[in-house]
Amino acid sequence: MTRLFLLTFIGLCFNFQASAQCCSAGNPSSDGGAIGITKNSLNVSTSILHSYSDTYFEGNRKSDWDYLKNTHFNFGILNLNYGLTDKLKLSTEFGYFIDKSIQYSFIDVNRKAGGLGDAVIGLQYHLYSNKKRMINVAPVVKISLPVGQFDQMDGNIILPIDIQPSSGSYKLNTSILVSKRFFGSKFSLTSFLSSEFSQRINTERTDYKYGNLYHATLKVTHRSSEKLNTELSLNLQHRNKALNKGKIMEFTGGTSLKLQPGISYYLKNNYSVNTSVGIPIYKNVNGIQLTNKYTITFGISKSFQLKTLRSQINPKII
Amino acid sequence: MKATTFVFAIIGLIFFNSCEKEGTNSNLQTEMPAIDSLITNTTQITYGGDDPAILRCFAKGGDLNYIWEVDLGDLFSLNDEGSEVQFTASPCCIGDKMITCTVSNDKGKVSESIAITITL
Repeated sequence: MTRLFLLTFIGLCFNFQASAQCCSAGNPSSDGGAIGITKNSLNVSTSILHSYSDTYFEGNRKSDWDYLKNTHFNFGILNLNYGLTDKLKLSTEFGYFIDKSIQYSFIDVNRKAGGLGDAVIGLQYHLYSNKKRMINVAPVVKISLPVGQFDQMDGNIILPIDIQPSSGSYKLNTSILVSKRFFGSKFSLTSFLSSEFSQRINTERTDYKYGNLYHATLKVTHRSSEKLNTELSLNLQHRNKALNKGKIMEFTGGTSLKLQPGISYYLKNNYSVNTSVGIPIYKNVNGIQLTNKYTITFGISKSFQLKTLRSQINPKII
Repeated sequence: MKATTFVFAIIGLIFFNSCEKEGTNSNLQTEMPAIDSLITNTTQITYGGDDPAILRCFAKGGDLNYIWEVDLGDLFSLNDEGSEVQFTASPCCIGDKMITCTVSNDKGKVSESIAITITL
């Protein structure tokens, strides 16, 4: 039970890495969640992410360039994690854009889209556990499937790919999670390194390949009370330039560093809630690009220990 | 008397039928759509909203529906019919962009494309 509680608590620390709006369709990528899960336990979590972007950058400086007034999206995700064994965790994600909108500065048009995004299926293997040093290591492999909408229209216009709910592309994400706790300390550290590779979209309308995406996250968690965790993440993200019809798109990709404070609170019956705010503190884009201003996440999670009925029947009591 | 009633009934039916024709498109004479021309005021624009390309599709076939698409960049409809659009793009989309207009009705559809270059 204690283990389940801890896993639930850590499982809440589910970070989204919302990138700059331009040319980044599909689900905002998420980190690998928590390390490990007990066999036959199921963790169900749902989160809402709000992202707002309204500032153009040229390189690492603010630009007075004006094309889009702002873009924002509200994105919901349903995440299921199931312990196949004590070391192997199966995870699935289903993303849904409640709304995704673009406002232009030169024309009074508010372009909107919404609907099912991508689906993600992943496996996490608890590779290394050193109980003395309190270190855990787990590699994760995820595959994104473009199951959502990629041909939404606004009137008689088919929307461009950067506002479509689905990315339209299969993606492979490999990552590694490392966690470290300290004896007698309320602090713990989690680091997360990931790389994402997209398949080239090759349809009648589109010949496009998203740039590879790399993440490095360092998170400090403080167990402030029995029920409350406070955390601070530092998320470094780098995206390579995209390809359109085989040619490099010079004004895509870049690097950003985001500070993400958050809290998570454990409720009764294995329910937990969490919230966090992501604020970019450094941005360096290729060319001129609209960049993210902030993200807000709110999530709720519940853990179940499946197949527990047998263990609850204690023969000694009978 | 019978003949007069019959003649009035026929005239009434014709009049009623012709009124219905004007009120709906359901009986509109259509044929397989054909695009006469897809034109633009310029084949090269600078990125941003100040220098749009205006595109117009001239088509025939009756009861036409116009759909516009481009992989990157922004299209905005300029008339109710949907036959005219403006095209602009942000800096991310520099290069050649193929804009396609598809015209359709109950007899079928036809597409034509035109290239616009977005420059610095």
